[in-house]
Amino acid sequence: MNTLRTLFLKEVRAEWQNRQGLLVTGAFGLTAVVAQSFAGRLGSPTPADSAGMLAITLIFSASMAIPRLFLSEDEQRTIDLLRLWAPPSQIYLGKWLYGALVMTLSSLVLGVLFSLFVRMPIVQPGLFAAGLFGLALALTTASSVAGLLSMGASHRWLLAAAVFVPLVLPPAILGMDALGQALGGSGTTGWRSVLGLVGFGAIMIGIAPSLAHSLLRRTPLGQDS
Amino acid sequence: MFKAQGIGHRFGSRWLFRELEIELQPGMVLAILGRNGSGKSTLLRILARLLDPTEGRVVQTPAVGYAALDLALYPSLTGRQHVDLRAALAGTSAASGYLAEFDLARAEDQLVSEYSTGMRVRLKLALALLGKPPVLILDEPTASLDREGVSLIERIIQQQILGGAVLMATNDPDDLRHATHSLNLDEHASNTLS
Repeated sequence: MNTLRTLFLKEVRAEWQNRQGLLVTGAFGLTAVVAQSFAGRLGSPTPADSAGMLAITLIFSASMAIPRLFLSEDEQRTIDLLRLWAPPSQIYLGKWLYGALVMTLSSLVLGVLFSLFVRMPIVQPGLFAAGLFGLALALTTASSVAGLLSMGASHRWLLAAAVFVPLVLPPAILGMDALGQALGGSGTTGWRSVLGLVGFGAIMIGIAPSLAHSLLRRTPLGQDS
Repeated sequence: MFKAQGIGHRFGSRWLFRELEIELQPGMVLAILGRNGSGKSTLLRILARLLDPTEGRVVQTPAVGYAALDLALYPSLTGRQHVDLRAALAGTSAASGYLAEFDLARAEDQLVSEYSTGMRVRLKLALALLGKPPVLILDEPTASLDREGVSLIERIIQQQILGGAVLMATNDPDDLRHATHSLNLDEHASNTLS
């Protein structure tokens, strides 16, 4: 636990000092919500349209904020320091925790701005909050796995994008379903979609540390290497 | 205390080295020699377990201090934050003024992006030595260091061999003065050393 906390705090310090990821993600989210509010004046978007726009904003925020936690470390070659000092699964989980914090805060801020700017009534606030939270966690996991899998590749950013698209499709569909119904859309599967998001996140977070172990491991002591 | 058996590594179809046998005992300073591109740094990365060899195996004690020119530091963290991170992950703590031993006292709250090359080398040494690892792996340890820095390396090596061992890649004849054993990657396609 101490190792995980230390690695999480390192991510917070390094990212806060740099702020590049936070600023890009924040600027993109704000621009997207403002653009959606203007688009909304041209016609009345349906709950499904609004849910789609909000989910896409979150997906792009995740694609900008999370894979770079892994890929910039790979590019700067600082990942070797961590590999010398900490187990791979803890390295992954430290970054995942930081990513989950950023995405949860982003979805909270974007959700509030969205409700203010787009003027779409939130019919089921509980489902809306749960959908945003579930989508944020599922996107964090999907995008962190995309970043992890792309480390060491010669075209790592391109590969991360290619891996990110299929990984992000299930949470995107589930998230749009939950958010659409929270905004007054038809259907009764909203909470089931939230459960699906949580399940997706849980399965991926169960697999990811093993992936990290394979990709970032140092040779085990006393074994064939 | 440290053993590597039948180590070999290749890039594409070219073998850098094959069948290397290395066994370190306390008090040893093993210098790895060879021209540029002979695989010195690659061998050290394998021995630090940052890279899997193409063949062979490494058996070693868990604690290895590793300082290399190509080991990157976090530009957005300070020297002190690096030491704190290393200490926390090693489950130890660095004494107050630890960086002063490496002549970095005045720079400990400076971002690493503002460090000179020589200061970065000193910080890497400080990080490698935290927790007193029994084996110290150094890649070109005196490159980029001024005279005081070179004296610091000499002191570190002298202290390290009191209870541990040093493995260093070098082309500097001055560094060789400290070596008790050497391994030249140019001269041997397969080497045995113990």
